[in-house]
Amino acid sequence: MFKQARPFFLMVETPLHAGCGSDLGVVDLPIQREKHTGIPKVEASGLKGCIREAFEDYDVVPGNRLPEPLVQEFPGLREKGKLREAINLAFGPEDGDLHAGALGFTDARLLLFPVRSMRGVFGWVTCPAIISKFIRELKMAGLEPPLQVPPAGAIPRGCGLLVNNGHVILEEYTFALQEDAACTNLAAWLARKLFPASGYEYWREKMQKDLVVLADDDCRDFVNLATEVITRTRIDAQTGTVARGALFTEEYLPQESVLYALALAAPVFHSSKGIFAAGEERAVLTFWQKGLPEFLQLGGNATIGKGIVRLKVLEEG
Amino acid sequence: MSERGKLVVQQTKGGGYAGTIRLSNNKSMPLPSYYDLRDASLNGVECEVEREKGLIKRVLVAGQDLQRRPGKGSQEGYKDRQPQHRQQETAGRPPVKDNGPHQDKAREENRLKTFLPRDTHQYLPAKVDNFGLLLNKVAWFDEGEDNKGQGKGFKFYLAGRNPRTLVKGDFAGIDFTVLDRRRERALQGTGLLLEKLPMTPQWRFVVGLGQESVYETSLTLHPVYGFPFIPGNAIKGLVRNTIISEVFAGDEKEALADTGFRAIFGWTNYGTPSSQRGLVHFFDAYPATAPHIVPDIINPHYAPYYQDASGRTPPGDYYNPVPVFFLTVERTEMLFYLGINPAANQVITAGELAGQDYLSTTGKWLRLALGEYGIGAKTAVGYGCFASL
Repeated sequence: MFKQARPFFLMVETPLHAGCGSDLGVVDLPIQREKHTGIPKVEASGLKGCIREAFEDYDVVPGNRLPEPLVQEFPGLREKGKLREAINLAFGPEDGDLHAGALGFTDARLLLFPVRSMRGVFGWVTCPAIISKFIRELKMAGLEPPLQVPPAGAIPRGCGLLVNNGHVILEEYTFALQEDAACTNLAAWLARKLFPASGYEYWREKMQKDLVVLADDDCRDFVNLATEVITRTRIDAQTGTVARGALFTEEYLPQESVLYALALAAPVFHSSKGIFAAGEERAVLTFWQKGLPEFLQLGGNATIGKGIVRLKVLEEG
Repeated sequence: MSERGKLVVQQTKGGGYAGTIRLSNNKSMPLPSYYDLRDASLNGVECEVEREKGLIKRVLVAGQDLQRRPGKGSQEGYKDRQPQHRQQETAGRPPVKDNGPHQDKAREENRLKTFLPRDTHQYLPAKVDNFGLLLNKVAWFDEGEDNKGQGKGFKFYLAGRNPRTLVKGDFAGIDFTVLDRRRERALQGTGLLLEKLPMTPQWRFVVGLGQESVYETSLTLHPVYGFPFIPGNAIKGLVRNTIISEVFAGDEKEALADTGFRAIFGWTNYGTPSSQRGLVHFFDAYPATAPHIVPDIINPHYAPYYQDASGRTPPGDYYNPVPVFFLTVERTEMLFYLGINPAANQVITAGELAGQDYLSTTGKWLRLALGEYGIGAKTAVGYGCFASL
């Protein structure tokens, strides 16, 4: 039974293809979506596997040292074999089913989706359904975020996307929107929580003003119809033309998309607690949080540069 | 200048109404068709006519512009924006001497319209910040020359006596330096050893020329920011193909038998466990600065000859050339990134590519491929070749 939870954000830095196999629709290789809403997501299993791999790399890859904060917290990790043991306790054993892992994850859900704008290059789109679910899950994790759900058709104060007083054009569609205090508050809160201290000033400022809360249906249409779809071909080395039957389309969650997930922790399910001394869920969560890399490669097509996400654990306050 | 005149409205055979303006000097001119006459109530009404080079520009009744047709109402929004277009276009260009081009231009502009929802048209800003939207959503449709329907279609470039670009690539809203800094940090953050290659096109490049588009031609643009870029898959394919051609004489089977080649690009062996992901990561190449987008032209002179599959049509000089316009990127430094897991970056010891480590080898071949083979479309005629400076 999970006792503690910590939300974290995934910011898409290069297009993300968390695929669900092939499909007979318009796109040959679509991305994973929630069945009932059509909103894109990343399966928890894929997310967990990727994070586990990042931890295992600390052990295997030469030069890839354990992060300093992690070692300070758990000096025992310096001993040989301790990291592997800790990974098995936290994520579950690699072989056999001796015990369950103490760490769990929820699916990464879409929170903000970038859509091209006639003014201001692009804006982040979301909707009351997504925001209320987000706030509910934060509360589930025991947090009390100072947020309200903005009404549909809201923009923050000083929005940079306005084409005139009260209208924003996203793709070719015009929306009548109004400045809203809850939306201003949400945009400022997200901008503060999502971006690290330096290097992201441009985007932090942009998010404070260029967040758009649309009606649920409009938002759903954008996340369904405005994802990035690329066509892949293969050139025949002999003829120099496109090889027969080698043309397919792939769907991606575009750069600048923001997702969130919860990391869940339970007490260690094993009599030998390893570095987790008392075996408390708190230690497991600290282990995860201190060892989590800032960047991760998730989803398909790593060798053509896809799927790099930036992880940011939600700090309290 | 404005003149006084009188409106004469008559019912036509089709049941509509047609207007004529009788000017003070007793000359008559037809009322432009974009004015909407619903009944004969305006018959005999005094009006003011504004003319420019003899053409009626506006008709005012009691100081108010006459009602325009809803279909052509789109032109009102267009007219509001157009002066800016015009100013941009004429800036830095010698003044046009004769009267002809002005008339041509006015006529050309009347032929243009966009297919946008009405409210979007109404609120469309004078300057669209996202080039992807400007090019592919605010697409100008040319209704063609009167009655003939010639030159009909979506256009980003108007040829003729006043050649001009209808869509201007303006990337002032994007800070490319900051974008690249963030990008480099993200790529490095995954623990990869990176090689950054800044390359500049020797002439122009166009990637994605054949993609689906409302125009005849296309250009690959970033799905969110709208700037042109070169996708990683195109880069990987180019380097792979270059090595196959240069080292393995175009024999892909032979290349796939080579250990160094297999390690760099990966291979699949269906049904057996011996598949491997490629070691080298090829990232999208973004512009280092605001890209310069320039229209270019393909002008086939013997279209009927090319189109005749039976081979009976000779390539005669009596055919009319058929200009096809496309957009290219010129004078824009592009930043190519290659990455590899540092632990995997070993020196290649066996096979045709032996000598250096994986990353350096791939970097060397990428430079050669971009310099000599070129990337994107039309490389055979000099597009897409890059030089590192």
